[in-house]
Amino acid sequence: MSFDDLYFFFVIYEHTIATALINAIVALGVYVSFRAGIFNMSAIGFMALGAYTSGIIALDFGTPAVVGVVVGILVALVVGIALVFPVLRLRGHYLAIATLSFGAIVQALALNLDFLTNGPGGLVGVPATVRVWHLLIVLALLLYGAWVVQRSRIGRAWDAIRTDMAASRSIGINVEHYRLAAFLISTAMSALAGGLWAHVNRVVVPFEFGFGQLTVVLVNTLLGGLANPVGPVLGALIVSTMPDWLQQFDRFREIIIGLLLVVIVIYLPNGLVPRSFGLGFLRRRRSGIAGSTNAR
Amino acid sequence: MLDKKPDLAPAAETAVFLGTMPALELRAVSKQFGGLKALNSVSLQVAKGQVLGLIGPNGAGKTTLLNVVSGLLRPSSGEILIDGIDVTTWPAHRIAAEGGLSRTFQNIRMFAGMTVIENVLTGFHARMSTGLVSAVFRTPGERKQERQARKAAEQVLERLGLSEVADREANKLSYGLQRRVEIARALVSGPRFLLLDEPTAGMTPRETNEIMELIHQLRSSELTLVVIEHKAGFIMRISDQVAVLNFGSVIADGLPEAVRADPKVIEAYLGAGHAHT
Repeated sequence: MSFDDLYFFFVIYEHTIATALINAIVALGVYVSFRAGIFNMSAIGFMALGAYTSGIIALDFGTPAVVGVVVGILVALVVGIALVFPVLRLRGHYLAIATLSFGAIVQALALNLDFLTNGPGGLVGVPATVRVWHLLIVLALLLYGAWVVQRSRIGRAWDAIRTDMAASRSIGINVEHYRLAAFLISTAMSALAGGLWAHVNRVVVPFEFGFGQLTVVLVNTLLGGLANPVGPVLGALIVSTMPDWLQQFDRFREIIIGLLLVVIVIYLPNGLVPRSFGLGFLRRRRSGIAGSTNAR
Repeated sequence: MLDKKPDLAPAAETAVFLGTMPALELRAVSKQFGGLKALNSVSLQVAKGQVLGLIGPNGAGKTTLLNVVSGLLRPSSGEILIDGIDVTTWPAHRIAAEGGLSRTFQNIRMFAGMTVIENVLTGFHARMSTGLVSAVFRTPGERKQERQARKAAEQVLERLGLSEVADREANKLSYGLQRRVEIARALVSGPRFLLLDEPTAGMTPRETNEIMELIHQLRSSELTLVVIEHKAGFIMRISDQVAVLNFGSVIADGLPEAVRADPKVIEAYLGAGHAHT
């Protein structure tokens, strides 16, 4: 494969790669909430908020992408803070439904606030200034951050809260504080991904922020698993590039994704990526295989 | 007992025999669940470094009492004081972190999926101050605290004889070992109060003896223990002071021998008619 081949490959698939990386950022955001035991379904809603804010600012003021993206995150955080207090009083399924309806509200607003969002037609002509290498850097930084945080006192507190709230309180964990932080980190990451998406896709339309997309986000996050942040990123990269390596099945994509979610939840509740991700895992695998050989 | 006076008298007697300011004090604490009075004006005092045994029949309100003291439930009325400070309105995490009060649960509550040492490390939470920024940048302070936590966890595992299972998944251990891990998790932060809710529930006689030995080892002048138990013999052996709850009220409170001989206690346990035998 010559350099030219590689270059053309990249040109052809640039949009797919960029989309996959953005999906990975969203999945990482969802992962933070899930890790803290918050069944948070608001990712697509906040992603839309970030995308629209960023797109509108770029179109109206002609500022560089970074301005719109940052303002998008701030707007999402303001909305997130308004949402977080009533929402975090809820538990489990109730919280899921409340955050799910938040996403539906955002989509409905995007469809109907014509003066701001241009309704169903959406925003067109957002400058495509965000490149793959930008996304790679952002994702790498977030992944690193998520990795060290989940291994710190904060990650342990999130794990504790997810498994047993009363026991967490009894060892001095401020449960409300940690749930709040996890929710707002998810919010910021979703909005960041949305803002970047506006500058990758050039177009921001309401139909890209619906329930179908949320299903994909959940599959991305759960396929890799919650054991560590590599899981959701890997899951997002696999699922997002799927249409390209399963091109002939493209029509069935949504069906495949839906089935995948069912299969994951039933047969792979812990996802693909193991908890101790590294050499220890390889060693265990190998001894397992050796064991089965002996048995035979 | 037809004349229902508020049960302030036993607490006053206790204060006389304690002689010092109580480390933990309940003043007329009541807890109402709808129409059910789970705790009815409970007053108790425990001196520093003492072991208070709390006994009573099923449904007497023992666990409710522990939940109220540890802040998981807010009392309907009354006051809870730690070293003379009113902590009645403190949230549970603050009572644990600032009040130095740790507890275990009747039905063991491990953090599932975590190893033994991770469970115990999590118990060190309140002694650390790592925030988001120091975690992301892995500041020297954060690393130092992380090392201290690990050291404290290893020490407490060693002390409780759990070093060998440190890397095993905690909720897959035997019941007796899980109870030890839970106690280790409560102890690692160096609490001044340790509340054990039926530490021997569901245990074999051998495991019960091991836990009893452990409680003996834990005794120190710095640690005040409150132990709930069903097994009256067990509680009489480990406690300095025994309080008996029945239908949410303290019916006896004092030295183990005195409580054991109290007709009201015998009646609560064996029913009326046995009191004079």
